[in-house]
Amino acid sequence: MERNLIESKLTEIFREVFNDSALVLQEDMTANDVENWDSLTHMMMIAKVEEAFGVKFRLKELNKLKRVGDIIAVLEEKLS
Amino acid sequence: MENSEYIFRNATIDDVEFLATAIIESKKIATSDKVGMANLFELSVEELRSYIVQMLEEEIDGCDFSISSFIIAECKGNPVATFGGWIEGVNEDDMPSSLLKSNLIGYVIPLEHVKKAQEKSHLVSDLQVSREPGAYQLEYGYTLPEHRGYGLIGKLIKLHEKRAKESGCNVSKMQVLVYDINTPAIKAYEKSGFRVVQRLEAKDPEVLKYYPHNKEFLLEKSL
Repeated sequence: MERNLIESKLTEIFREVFNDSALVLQEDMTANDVENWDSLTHMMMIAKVEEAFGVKFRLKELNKLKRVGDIIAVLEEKLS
Repeated sequence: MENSEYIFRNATIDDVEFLATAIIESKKIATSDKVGMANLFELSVEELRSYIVQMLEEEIDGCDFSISSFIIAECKGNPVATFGGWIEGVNEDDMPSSLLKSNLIGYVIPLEHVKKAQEKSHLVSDLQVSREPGAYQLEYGYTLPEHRGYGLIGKLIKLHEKRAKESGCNVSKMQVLVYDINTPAIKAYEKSGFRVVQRLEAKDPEVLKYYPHNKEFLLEKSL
């Protein structure tokens, strides 16, 4: 899947889960930068990403997904 | 029981059943049997216990559900008390402990139960303090009833303090959260040098349908 398609699907998920329709993703964005990105919404975001992209993350992979750029990179790898 | 009958050591994978008991029991109060996490995720206590065991067995370091966070007091070969502790944000991937814990929960607990917790998250969000990066976090201090009164929690705190000082991470303080009505625990922390620095309250009375209590103190000790 192309990177821009990954980014646009991910943007949709982030806007829905973190309840911010104007949210614009940036590579360096972390939980500190997004108001509603807390422990519970994090779980929902991961679940939605897995569902929307048809992937399943291993625990070791999940624990490296700190920045938005990390999520995009692992999706690119899994979907290539 | 003589103090000399207790030995202290780091927890291992063989302790997971005792650690699961400690994680569940340490969050109860004397006047209620409510287990907040079980109620939040709409799980029976037995289901929750089995998921906690699975999360511990993943052996992820640096959060609430890490075997390596726990120090054990043992008597005659059996674990009788424990306390967990870790340096916030200092782990293999420098992840906040809240996200490591979330990843474990999302990995082990079925999605329909995670959704149940999500629906109630607004009720309990005021009880969650944002853990300070670099500060030593204490969680789940628990002693079996028949071993209480021997200062085991104080000794476990001292051992965590030693861990913090010897970590090489310049840890400046330790933090612990406790229900404001848990007087014995608060006294034990104060005796160990902790002071109340913040009061947290979940204001919606509905929270008491799920949690045993709705007010907490954050205590700190400078190192």
